[in-house]
Amino acid sequence: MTDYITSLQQTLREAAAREYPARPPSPEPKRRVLRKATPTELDAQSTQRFMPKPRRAAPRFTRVVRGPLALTAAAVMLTAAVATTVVLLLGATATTPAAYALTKNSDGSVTVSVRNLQTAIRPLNRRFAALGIPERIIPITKACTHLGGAVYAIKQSQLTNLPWTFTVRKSRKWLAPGDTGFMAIGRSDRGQLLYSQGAMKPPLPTCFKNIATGSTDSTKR
Amino acid sequence: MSPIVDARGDDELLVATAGGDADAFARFYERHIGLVLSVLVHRTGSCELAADLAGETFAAALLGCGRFRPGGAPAAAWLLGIAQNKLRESARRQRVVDQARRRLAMPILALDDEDLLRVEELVGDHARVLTLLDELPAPQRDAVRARVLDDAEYHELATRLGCSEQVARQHVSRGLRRLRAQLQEDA
Repeated sequence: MTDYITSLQQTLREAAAREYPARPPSPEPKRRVLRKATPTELDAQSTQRFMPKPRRAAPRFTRVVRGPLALTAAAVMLTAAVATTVVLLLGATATTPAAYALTKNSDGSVTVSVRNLQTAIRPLNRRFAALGIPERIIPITKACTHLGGAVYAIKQSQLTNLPWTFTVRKSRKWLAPGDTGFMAIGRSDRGQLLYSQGAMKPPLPTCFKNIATGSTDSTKR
Repeated sequence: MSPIVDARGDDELLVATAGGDADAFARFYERHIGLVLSVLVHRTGSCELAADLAGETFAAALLGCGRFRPGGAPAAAWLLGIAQNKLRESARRQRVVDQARRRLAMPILALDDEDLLRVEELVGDHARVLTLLDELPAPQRDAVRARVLDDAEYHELATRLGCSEQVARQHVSRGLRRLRAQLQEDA
């Protein structure tokens, strides 16, 4: 009887064969066959080499480049333009500060500093998930239809401005079993930063509605 | 499982796998299943759970071997990094993830009592190392664990331990030296 360890090895081998099918051996590279030149041919070649070259007709300035040559020139110009744009874009990205910074502390907690609300939330939530931190950041938006549901707000406040810096600990005693903590953040109609911290049972909404200035949630538990 | 000696290094086996050599991955599995199982048993305390997680770890390694860069971090550290991620992900979801195995259309294998004994047997040698690791002085134990098992960078390690990078290096080096000496004494 095959045991678990051997069966696993076998299924992995089969999966490897499916995932990375064996490539056919590459064909033998064509070798250039060098034909021996006869003395007469060599003489002719050396004579030609030292003969004065026939003069070419002077190029005319009105000459129009047609056909494949014209296409090649256009392709070269286009490639150069694309390359320049890419370099400019990359250069701009390289100088733009990161949307957020995350530092792991020696006690297991993480300190986060958010600089750009629009771009930080999604990657930060992914990072939290990867680090096993039961916390989600949820944007507060005007267009969102979710009012809050079974949310209890722990803290509500108005932040002064970005960067928004906070520390999250993996073990939080106030979190009821099965609940996920969240931090909701967004801007009020007057442009103030709104912040609310709370917890609720999953599934968590993807956004909260900005229902009043300084308030993110009408339902408190 | 009859072990077949393969002279190729881990990096070569992973590169060969991505190049279409399915047997190379089987060799890589054979070489590291004991280590992966022992780390997972040590962390979970359950042979059954560890075996399940090991299956998922190797499936994820198979999917990711095309992205493995030879010459960088050792392949074993890379593999243990995957195992740690799978463990963390499973703890978060409260169930063993089978994402990689599903992507590869691999059947989920069931374990019987004999299989569990086989897992224990494989874990045996490595378990001794992990027990010895637990017996190291706290800074050395934490440093070796973070560096060897979690594949943490020295600067990260220094932050975790609240010391300089040089001191973190010393902790790792002394811890490994002590482990080696203990194992030699055992032998």
